[in-house]
Amino acid sequence: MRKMLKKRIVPLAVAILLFVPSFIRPPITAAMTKTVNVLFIAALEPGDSDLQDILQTFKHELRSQGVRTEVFIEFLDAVRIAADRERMDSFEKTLQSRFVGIKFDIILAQGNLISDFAVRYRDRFFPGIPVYCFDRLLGPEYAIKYKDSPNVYGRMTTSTVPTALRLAESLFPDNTGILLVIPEMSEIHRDSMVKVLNDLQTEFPTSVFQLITTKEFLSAYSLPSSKDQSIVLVLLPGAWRMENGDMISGIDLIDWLLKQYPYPILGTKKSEFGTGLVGGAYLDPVSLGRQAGRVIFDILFSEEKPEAWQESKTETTAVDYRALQRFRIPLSHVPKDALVLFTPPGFWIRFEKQIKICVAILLIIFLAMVIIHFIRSREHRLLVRLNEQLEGMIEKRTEELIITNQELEAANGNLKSSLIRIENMQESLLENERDAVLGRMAVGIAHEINNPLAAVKSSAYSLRELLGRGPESLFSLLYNMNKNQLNLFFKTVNKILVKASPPLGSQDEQDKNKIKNRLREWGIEITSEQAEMAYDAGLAYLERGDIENLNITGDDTVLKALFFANVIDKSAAIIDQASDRISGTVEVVRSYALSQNDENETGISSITDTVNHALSLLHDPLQKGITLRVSMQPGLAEVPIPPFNLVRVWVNLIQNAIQAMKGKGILEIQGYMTGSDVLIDVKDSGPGVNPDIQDRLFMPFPYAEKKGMGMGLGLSICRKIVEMENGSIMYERTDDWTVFSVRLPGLRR
Amino acid sequence: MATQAILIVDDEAILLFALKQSIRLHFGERYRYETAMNGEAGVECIRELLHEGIEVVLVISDWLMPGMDGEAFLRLVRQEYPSTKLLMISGHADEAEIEKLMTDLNLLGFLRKPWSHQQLFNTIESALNRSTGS
Repeated sequence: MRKMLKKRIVPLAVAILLFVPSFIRPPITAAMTKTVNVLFIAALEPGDSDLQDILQTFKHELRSQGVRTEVFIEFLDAVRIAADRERMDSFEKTLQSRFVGIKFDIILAQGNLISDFAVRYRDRFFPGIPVYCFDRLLGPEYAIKYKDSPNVYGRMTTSTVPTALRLAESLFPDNTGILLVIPEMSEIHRDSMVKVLNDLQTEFPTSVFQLITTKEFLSAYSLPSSKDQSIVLVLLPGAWRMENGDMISGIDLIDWLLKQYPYPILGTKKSEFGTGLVGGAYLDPVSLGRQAGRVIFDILFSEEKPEAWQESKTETTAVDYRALQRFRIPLSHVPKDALVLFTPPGFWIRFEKQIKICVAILLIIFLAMVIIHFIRSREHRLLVRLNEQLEGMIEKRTEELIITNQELEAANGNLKSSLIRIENMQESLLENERDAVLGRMAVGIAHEINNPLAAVKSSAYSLRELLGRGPESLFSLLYNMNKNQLNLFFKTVNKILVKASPPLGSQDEQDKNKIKNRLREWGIEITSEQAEMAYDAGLAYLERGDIENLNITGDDTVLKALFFANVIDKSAAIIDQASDRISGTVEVVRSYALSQNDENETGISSITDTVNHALSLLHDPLQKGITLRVSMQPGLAEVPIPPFNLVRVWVNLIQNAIQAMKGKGILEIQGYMTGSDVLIDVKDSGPGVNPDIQDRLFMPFPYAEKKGMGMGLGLSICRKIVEMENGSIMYERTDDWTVFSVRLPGLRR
Repeated sequence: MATQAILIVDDEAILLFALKQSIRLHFGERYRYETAMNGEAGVECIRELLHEGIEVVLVISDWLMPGMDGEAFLRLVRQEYPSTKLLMISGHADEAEIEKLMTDLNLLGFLRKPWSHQQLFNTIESALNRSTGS
C-alpha cells in the first residue's frame, strides 16, 4: 500500500509543484515588503482602452518584481486646464483633497500637458518624488525641457505620424492631398509636425501634405465638395472642439467624422481602430506599460538610476480590412509589415452555421455508414467465417474422401491382389491336389500294374517249372504213369480245366474247408496238405465219384499230375487276366493323360461316362469288400463341366466313401434328373462324417490333421468345381447312409 | 509231413495264387504253404496252424491292404510270434519308406513287385537261414 502511494502520489505532487505555479500568480506574501503608491494623472480620453492596457501591464510588471502598486488615477482635461490657470489651480486642490494623507512614491503623467502639470504639482506638494512621463507623442524636446528638473523621467517615442502619413500615401496613391489634422496643441508640438510634413513632402514630391487644425478643418470642409473627393485625413489623437463647444475625441469623434465626410481617415491610436479608420500606426500600449513598469522599478528601487529619457519603439502599422473593401484598395497597396485587422471571418466562419449543419449531417451519415459497414462487415465476416468453415469442412471432407478413396483404392488393390493370390493359390492348390491325386493315382497305377505283373511273373515261373524246368514236371509225371493212371488223368483233367476258373479269393477258404469236410464225409481222410493240394488241383469242382476214383489216399501221382495241370492252366489264366488288367490300367492312364492335355476338350461331360471313368480308376480298391451299385437314370442331361474335373469329383467322393467304409460296405451311385438339373448321389454305408467338422466339411482342411490319406482339400475342390458352373454339393446323413449329393445344371440338347 | 509253414498274405487273389505256387514249386515239401487275403485271416491262419502243431516260420505280407494293412499285420505277428521271420512285398514304396519299415518291423527283406523269382527265392532262403531271436 505504501509503495503504491509512493508510486502514485509522489509524481503527482511533483507535477503539481512544477506546473501549477505557472498558473498561479505569485501570492502576495510577507516577503513582498514593498508597496508603492502611484499617482496617475491620465489624459481624459473617453473610450481610450490603451490606458487600461498600459496600467495593467505596468502593475503586473511591478508585481512580478515583488512590488505591490496602489494606483490612484485622476483624469485631467489637459487642454482645458492648460489654457486656464484657474482651472489648473482648482485641479490641484481637487487632487489634494482627494488623496489626503497619501504619500505618493511616484507620479505618472500621461501626455505632454499633463506632464507639465505633474512636474509643477510634484514640485509643490511632493518634492523629491520622481515623475514619469509617457505618451505617444513625447518627443525628444521634452528631454530638453525637463533637463534641469530633477527626477523627471520619461519615455520618448518617435512619432508614429510619419508612418501613418506614409501609409496614407501608399494606400491612396491617387490622392489629391493628405491632411494632417491636429487638435489644439502646444507650439512645440506643432512645429515638430510641420517638420514631419516637410520631410514627407520631400519624400513624396507629387503628393500634397498639409497641416490643418481641427478648427480650420471644420470650417473649411464643412461640406464636402466634389473637388476634394480624394483627400485623405490623418488624425492626431486629441479632442476636437466642435462648433457648439463640445469636446469630442476618440471613437465618438471618428464616428462623427465618418458620418460627415466621405474621406478615408487614418489614425495613430490603437483604441481608435476598428471604428472605421482605414488604418494607421500606433504604439502598442502593452509594451509601453511593461517598459514603464521596468523603468519605474528601477527609478524607485535600483541603486543605479536609469536614464531620464529613454526611447522606445513599439510602432505597429495596421490596416482595417473592411475599409480596404470599402475604398476598394487592393492588398498590394498594403505595406508588407502592416497588420491587416478585422479581416472578415473567412469562409469557414461566415458560413459557420451552414458548415456546422453540413458537418453534422456528414458526421451522421458517416456514423451511419460506419455502423452499417460495421454490421455488414460483421455479417461479411460471419459469412466469410462460415464460408471458411464450410470450405474447411469441404476440404476436410474432401481430404477424408480422398483418404477414404485412397484407402478404398488401396484396399481394392489389396483385394485385387488378394484375389489374384487366392486364385493363384487355388490354382496351385488345384494343381497340388491334382498332383496329389496324380500322386495317389500314380501310386494306384503303379499298384495296378505291379500287382498283375508280379502275378504274371510268378505264373511264368510256375509254368516253366511245371513244363520242364523243375525237378518234377508234368511231362515227367505223365511219362511215368501207367495206362490206367493216364486214363484217369485225362478223364479228369478236362473236367477240371473246363470248370476251373481263376481263383476268386474270398471263396477260397470256404472251398478249402468244403473239400476237407466233403472228403471227411466220404470217409476219405486226407491231410491238410493233401486237402490243400486237392483244392489247388481244382478238385473242389469234381464229383464224389471222380474224387474216389482218384484214390488219393493211395497213390497221389494222378492227383499230383492233376494239380500240375491245374496250376499250369491257372497260371496261364492268371497271365491272361493280369494282362487285361494292365492294359485296362494303361488305357485309363492314357485317357486320363489325354483328358488333361487335350485343349480342345469340351467343357461338357456325360454323367455316366465320368462316373464309369472314376470307377475304373478306382477298380482295385472297389473290388475288395465293397459292393458297388450304380444306377443312372436314362436320358441324363450333359453338364457344362470338363470331364477331367468331373471325374476328379467322383474319384474324390468315391475314395472318401471307400475310406469311410474301411474297404467294406456298400457304395451306391445314383443319377437322376430334377427339373433341368442333374442330381448325383454318392452313398456309402460308412459311419458318416464326424459331426464336429460337419460345418467345415467343404472347406479346406476340415480335419485338424489327416494322416497319409490325401491333403484334406478334396471336398473343397469338389465344391469349387461344382460351384463354378452354379452347381452344388451337399452332405447328408439319412438312414445309416452317408450321402454326398451333387446337383449340376443340365444342358438342354 | 512238414512241421513248418510259410504264410503269404496279399489282398490280390491272382498274385496270392501265383506266388504260392512259385514258392511251393521251389521249396517243395519242406514247408506247408498257407495263404490269406487280409491281416485278420492271416492271424487266424497262424493260430490254426499252431493248433495243428505247425509253426509258421515265415510270413510274407503285402503292404497296402484294406483294413489291417501290412505294417499293422506284421507288427501284430512280431508281437505275438516274435520268432516268426517277416518279409514284406509291395507294389509301390520308396527307399525311405522301405528303410523305415525294415527298421521298425525288423524285416528280413523287402520285395518290390514285380520281383524276379531268383530275387524272391534268395530273399526267402536267407530269411529262413537267419537265426531266430533277432
